Amino acid sequence: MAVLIVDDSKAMRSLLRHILKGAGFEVFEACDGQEALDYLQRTHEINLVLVDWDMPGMDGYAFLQAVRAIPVYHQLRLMMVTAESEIEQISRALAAGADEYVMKPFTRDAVLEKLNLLGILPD
Amino acid sequence: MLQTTPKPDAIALSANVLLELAESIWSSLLELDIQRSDDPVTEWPCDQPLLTGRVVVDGDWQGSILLVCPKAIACKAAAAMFGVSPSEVAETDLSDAMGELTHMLSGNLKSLLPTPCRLSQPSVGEGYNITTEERIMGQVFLRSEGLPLQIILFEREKKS
Repeated sequence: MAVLIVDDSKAMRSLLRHILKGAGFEVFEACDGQEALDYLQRTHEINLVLVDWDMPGMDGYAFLQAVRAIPVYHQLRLMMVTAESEIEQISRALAAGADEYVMKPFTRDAVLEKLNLLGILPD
Repeated sequence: MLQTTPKPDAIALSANVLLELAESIWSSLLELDIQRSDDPVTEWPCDQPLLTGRVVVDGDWQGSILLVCPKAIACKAAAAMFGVSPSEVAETDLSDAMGELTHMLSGNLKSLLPTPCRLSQPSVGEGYNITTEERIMGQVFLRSEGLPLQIILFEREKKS
């Protein structure tokens, strides 16, 4: 199982990498939406993308819309990871095609529980 | 009409909210201790350089959210996030972690502010960088790892 972490913060990517590697994922990283899109176009091995909402350049919402507009990525699982807690924003992300949504700050258990709900935890 | 002075109960509420947010980040993400300090910081440790993280809020409500702490605390937080010892934290990683902590505080606080409003990317600078054009709407004094921290919510009066 391969996951792409998309966050402009190296510290946040590090935290998520530690959690996801510990859960058995193969982890790849990108700094913004455009870099993530470029990565996806180079490889089809990614099963899941964890994407931050607020990033300079292409943000998480624009990335979500771009990915969901490409038919080949319809099966790709997408989880938003964001510090913003407004219900309206969560609804927008889910309506645009996000499969799940996890709030910062998170615990390891909260992230893994969301992935379990998606049925995407490695054995 | 914009209030010229904040209600005392509004400040008290903000302090509690800021405390809860800080506790949530420090305990769940960093696994570091944090408590509310009964005494406002009158003197920052003179042997500790300070860092200030700032996120600007724009929209129906305008202001900024600041996290001020000694570099040693930022270093411990960065070490927790990067899974290394504090002595191994690079300067750029320290700034990145401090920015992310400020951004997290601001993102969580945003839902309590008048909408619509949007957050800037965080900026991090050395020293106690406070502008005088904004008024304090809420603040909380904290201690973590024996050192003081301060979180401040500033409101900027809209120019008509």
